[in-house]
Amino acid sequence: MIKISNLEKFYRTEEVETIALNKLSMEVATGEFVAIMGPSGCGKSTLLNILGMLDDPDAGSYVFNEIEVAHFNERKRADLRKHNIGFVFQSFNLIDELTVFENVELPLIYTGVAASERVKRVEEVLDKMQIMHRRNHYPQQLSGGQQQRVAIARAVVNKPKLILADEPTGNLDSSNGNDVMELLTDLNEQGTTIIMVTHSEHDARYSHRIIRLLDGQTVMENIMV
Amino acid sequence: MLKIYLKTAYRNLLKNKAYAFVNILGLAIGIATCVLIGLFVGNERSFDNFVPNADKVYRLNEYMHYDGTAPSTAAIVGPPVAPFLKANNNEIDSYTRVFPAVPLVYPSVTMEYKGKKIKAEKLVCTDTTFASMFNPVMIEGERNRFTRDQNTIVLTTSLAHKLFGDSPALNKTIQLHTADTSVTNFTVSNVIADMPKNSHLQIEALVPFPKEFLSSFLGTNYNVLMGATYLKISNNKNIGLLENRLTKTIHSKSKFIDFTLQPLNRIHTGSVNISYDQLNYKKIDGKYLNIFIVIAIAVFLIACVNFVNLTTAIAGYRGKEVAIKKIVGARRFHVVFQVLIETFFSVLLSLISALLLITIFLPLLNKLLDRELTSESIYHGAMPVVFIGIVIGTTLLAGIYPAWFISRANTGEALKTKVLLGGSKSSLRNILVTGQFAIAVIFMISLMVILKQLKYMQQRDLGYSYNQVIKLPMDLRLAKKLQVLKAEIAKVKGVKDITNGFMELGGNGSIFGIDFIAPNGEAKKITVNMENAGINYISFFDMKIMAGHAFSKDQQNEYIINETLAKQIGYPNPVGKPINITSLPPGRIIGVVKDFNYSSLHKTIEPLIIGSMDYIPYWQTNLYVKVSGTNVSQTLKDIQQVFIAVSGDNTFEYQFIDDHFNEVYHSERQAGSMIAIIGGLAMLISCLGLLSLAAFVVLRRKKEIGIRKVLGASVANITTLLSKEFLILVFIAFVIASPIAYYFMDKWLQGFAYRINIQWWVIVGAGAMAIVIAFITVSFQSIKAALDNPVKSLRSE
Repeated sequence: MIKISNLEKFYRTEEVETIALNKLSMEVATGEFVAIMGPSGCGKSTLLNILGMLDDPDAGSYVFNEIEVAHFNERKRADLRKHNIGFVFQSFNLIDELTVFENVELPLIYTGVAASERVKRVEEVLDKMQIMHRRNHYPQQLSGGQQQRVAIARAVVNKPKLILADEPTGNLDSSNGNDVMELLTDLNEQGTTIIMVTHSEHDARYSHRIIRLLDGQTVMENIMV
Repeated sequence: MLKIYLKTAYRNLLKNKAYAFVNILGLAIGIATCVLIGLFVGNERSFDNFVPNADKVYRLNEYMHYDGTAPSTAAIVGPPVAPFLKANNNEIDSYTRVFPAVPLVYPSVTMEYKGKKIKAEKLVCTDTTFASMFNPVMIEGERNRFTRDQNTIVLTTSLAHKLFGDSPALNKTIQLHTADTSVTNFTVSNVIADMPKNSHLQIEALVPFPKEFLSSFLGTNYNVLMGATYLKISNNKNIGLLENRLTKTIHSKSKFIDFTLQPLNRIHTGSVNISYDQLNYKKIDGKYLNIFIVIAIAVFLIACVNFVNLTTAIAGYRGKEVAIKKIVGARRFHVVFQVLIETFFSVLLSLISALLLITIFLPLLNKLLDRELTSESIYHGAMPVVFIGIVIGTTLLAGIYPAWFISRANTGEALKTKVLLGGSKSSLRNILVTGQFAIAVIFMISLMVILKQLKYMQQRDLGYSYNQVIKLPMDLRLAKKLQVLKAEIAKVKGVKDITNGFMELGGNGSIFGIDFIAPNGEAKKITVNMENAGINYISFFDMKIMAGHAFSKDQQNEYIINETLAKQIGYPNPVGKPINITSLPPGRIIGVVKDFNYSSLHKTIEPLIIGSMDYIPYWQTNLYVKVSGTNVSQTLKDIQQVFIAVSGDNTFEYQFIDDHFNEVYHSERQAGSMIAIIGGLAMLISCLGLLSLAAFVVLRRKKEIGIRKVLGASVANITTLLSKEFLILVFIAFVIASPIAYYFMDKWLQGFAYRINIQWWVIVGAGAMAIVIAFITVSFQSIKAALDNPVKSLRSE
């Protein structure tokens, strides 16, 4: 599904140039659950942003579903993104002014799904995430675990092929964290590819494979058994 | 999709209640100011537009260029001028003369019906063409009888109502007392609706010219200034050429007058420098209308700038929301659209608030401007379209930049920092704030200059004193009883002195020809202003005699001249030299009076001759009474009693000359008040904007403030740090604004012959005031931030 080779990304200020990704190459097959680990500043988030087409690389190639997207413009990337990729963040990133239902509905609005269909699909996914009873609440009225479930609901409502999760349990206690990991595992078992950035060895054990990064390069790959 | 936009807009508004309030209120004030001024300007520009073919109707103005006085334009001409011009120029389709009936056609007029007496104030003599030229609405009577027959009269509905109550007026006969002994019966031929409020001609009754008047000395006099004449012309393509032809035509009768044609729709706004224009109802200086438009737009722009600034500042904190939306699939235009919808929402609320403000403040504006504007007109005609235009226009104007700015944000970056950097530190915003304050400072400087000039005009030594002097206008009937009237009023307790005159003090002067012998022996004829004064006139007004003496007991054929005329005549000492007013018996100069400003300060002092010809009641139109400062109202009551007893009718008008001068500078006073109010609003809106901008800056620098405090910064340090940023902008605004304000105010002052110089401290004072106001505004936020517990702000980071 994903093939990147010799990917490079620099951050420049007026005087200093920082290398975030240094000729990074990796592959992720459809249906895989991959964990990316590494110390702070190793390039995990940069990699995730590029994989999620939120950012573009300075050099190298990124093939997504056999399409080279490294030099896509913003609009093409946005199109590809909204149909194929769902995001889950450490800090949930729900919109405070929208209710649970409206937050989850948002991706469907932007992909032009009809209103009646939207209601059906949002209810379906809220049900699945066991958060239906909170549909008219605002994010700040929910616990962290509930917020993350809403965020996952939002990530999957469009039935994406790929879910990118950036430390999804980072702001949760261990019990809620385990729930979230179970949810992700379920999704993976139903066929969704998952790439997850994490600091937690515990969470990483849910994945099929761990890629360890240091200074923008792959230093080790562990295959889980 | 739209639903979710509106929902987000509504919730965002609630979330930022305080800012939304400032935003909406500021814009509402801007819109309300614009609409109110628009209503006023629209009303002034609409004058006389109800007249059919108004673009072909012109008023014939007379440009007088006699030797002696400076040339000037009068709104009135002599009775035979219009028929003579029409007979000799085929471009003139028709003419209508509108001449005041009193005092030159009839010495005075009182109407009587079944014992009910009404003094006719606005009675005019006119031609039958009035009906077709001005198209009055006929309530009673046939159009073709309109002033057709001698001894018929046309009444407006209000006057008809006063005379006849609710019963019809047509064909009823009323008596016109035109002098003490003469009574003529007039039959009502028509009743017309009152003249529209936006007609420059506010008249109550019309009669045809009496046949005997048209053949009299005055009726056949081309040089006399008597009444307004309107021409309807067939082709208005080349007015300049027609003016030349008319001038050429009249030169065969009088070589001292030229003609200019004033378009009907310019009479109301374009007649400030035209004299003898008493019929022109509430005329206004069109120059001020333009100024009002400019300042309305300026205030509106200031309000829009606030809107842009605040929206952008708030937008800075919407990074996360926008980023998430983009991640889940929003395109840039979705974000742009959302911001525009939100802006639209706020603008709509502003408009609704503005309409409310308009309803509240319209009565005050009417009082200030002496108008009867109604707010109904803002819901009719083109106005709803204008409002839709304002909403859409403002939405685009105020929404496009924030929308562009928010939507361009880098998604990953915005998600991480949650704050859009440009939003909190934007050079555009600095430019906007600077521009906004520049406008406010221009207002403040202008206001100070206008107030100083007004004060100067009020306090300037005019060369004569009119403290506690009241003016009582007299008609011919009363003038004939002048000696009795003076003797009786002099007996009233509290009356200190009494005299009489002819010229309107503070008015345009009154032009007469004089004959004298120049030092080189040549007999000369020039025109000067003339005053026919009571014998004690000079001492009454405390004027200074520079040579010779004031009037003697036997004042016949004695003249006093002012210094300007003395200079024109040319003798080192003109006292004793022969002089006379043209067509009066020969006389001599007995004294030279120090120049005094008998006209307004707009004009320089012109040559003046003062006679004391008590045998010419026509030239005795004003009685001046000096009263003591105590118990004035009782004194006035007593004078009224005497006045009514002598005159035999019920009308008693008086005016303190002080008040009269206030009227003379009415335009300046109005402009001053308007600029004061609007300038105040501009400052208020700017400060509202500054207040919330400062709040955002404080928010942005919360962490910095916390760290500084932990490291030992005092409250004063922090306040200075935060205020400095804004004060620099206000200072730059001041530097930009002062030369602009100076330029415009200097130009404005050129309109006065006697004016102040703009002193440097006026400008610096206004600038300092703006800076102080801005500082106080910013201090509210910065002191609050400085007093905050740093632990709180650091923890929240």
